[in-house]
Amino acid sequence: MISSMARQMGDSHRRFLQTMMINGITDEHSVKALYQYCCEVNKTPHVPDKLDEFIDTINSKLQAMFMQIRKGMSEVDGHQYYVLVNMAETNITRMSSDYADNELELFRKIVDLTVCSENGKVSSTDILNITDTMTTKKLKKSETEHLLSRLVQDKWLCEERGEYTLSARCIIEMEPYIRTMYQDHLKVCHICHSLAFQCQICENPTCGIKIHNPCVARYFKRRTEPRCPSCDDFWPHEIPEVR
Amino acid sequence: MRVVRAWLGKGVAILRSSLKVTRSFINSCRFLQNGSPDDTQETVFRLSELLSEQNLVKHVVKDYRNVYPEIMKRAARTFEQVFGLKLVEIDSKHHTYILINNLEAADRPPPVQCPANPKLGLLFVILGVTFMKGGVVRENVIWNTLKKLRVDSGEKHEEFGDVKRLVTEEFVRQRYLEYVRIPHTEPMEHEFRWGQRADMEVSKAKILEFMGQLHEQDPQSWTQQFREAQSSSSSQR
Repeated sequence: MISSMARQMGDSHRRFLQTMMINGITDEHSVKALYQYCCEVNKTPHVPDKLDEFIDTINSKLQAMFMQIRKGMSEVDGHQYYVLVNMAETNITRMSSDYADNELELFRKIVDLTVCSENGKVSSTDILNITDTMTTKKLKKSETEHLLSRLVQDKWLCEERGEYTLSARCIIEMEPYIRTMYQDHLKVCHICHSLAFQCQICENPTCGIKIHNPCVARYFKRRTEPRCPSCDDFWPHEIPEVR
Repeated sequence: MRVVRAWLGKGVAILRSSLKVTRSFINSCRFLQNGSPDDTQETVFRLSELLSEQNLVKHVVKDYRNVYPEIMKRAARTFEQVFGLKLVEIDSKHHTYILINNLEAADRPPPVQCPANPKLGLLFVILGVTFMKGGVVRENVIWNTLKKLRVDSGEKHEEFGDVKRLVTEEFVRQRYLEYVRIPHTEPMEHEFRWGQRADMEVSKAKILEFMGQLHEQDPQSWTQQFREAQSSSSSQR
């Protein structure tokens, strides 16, 4: 552990980090290919199963700047993704030239609505209504709609049939913030223990555990009679296919 | 002993501020693709944003104005060692900086799909035409060229919006272009030149390659420009 943390950063690490910065979110397959590419371009030996150590080396240097490369699962397809995350909540992060202060305020309110929602989905109507509670310069309807489309384009939110959900990038990036802010209201997946927004819930009122859709797919794969892993009640929801 | 401790405290404060400066740069980075806008070409990534001292001092360095140079020096070191980026001061009067890529260009593009920036394609055309015309070109040549590519400076463009504003204001503000009045012209005319940032970031060899593709010609056939491209790439790093 200590020896890998002390490993020096080389150009292969830097090239990897630059690409991670350019893409908000990268899927696991591409990350593995990128790791190989960065080693080969830099003419350093590429050891396929040392990806975690490679990233640890980068993270050890990023820590002082409150940044980390984090890995997380998408609630939609169940695949792993990597994100370069900002972990500090200060004025500086608000300098991000992508969004204005009031746009960031509305975005935080959307996260709030989603965390407190039943199914992890928020309608555009709900979002338009919440602009009334803004403390910074209120956004007009057209501005809100424009912001929402930009948030989807930049992969912070996903949209389907007028309903918005938090993207994998958003959940991975904001997990520490969400865990701190909503300690008591959090939904956590019983199988993988990550934050759960789009999930299935056990109908037993004394149980009520939550499981991500992809985690349901994997856990109940090929079981003839699906039963809740916690209370053993029949699991009444449709079991999705493994993707 | 007290003096030593005071200096140690100051050192820690400087280090913390330099890390804040580094992070603030990273957070405001816009990532531009330097190379042919064509996806299949080799893409060399240039990370850059203009940031001025005023901005930094206001947001980051609040209490440390007098140690600002030391902070910038340490921030530059972090950029280089962690991110492989070089902090370059392009305006010493206003303390304006850009970040350029310190890593060597790879021999092949990365296996990851990166977001393309269409504005850069537009910029490339302008830089290309300007370069081919010997480094200076009257504005109507540019507007006509763009019009042929169905980018009309007089109309609102679907992708670029107000094209005239993008080219004469944003590209100029970002130091990619210079847009200078030609004296004694009635009505007032301007000419375009490469900006300081284009000189530093954009490879003339790449531009020539791009023009070669556009005109389906061998870049070497433009002997003068080819010679200039060769000599400029050796002096650019």
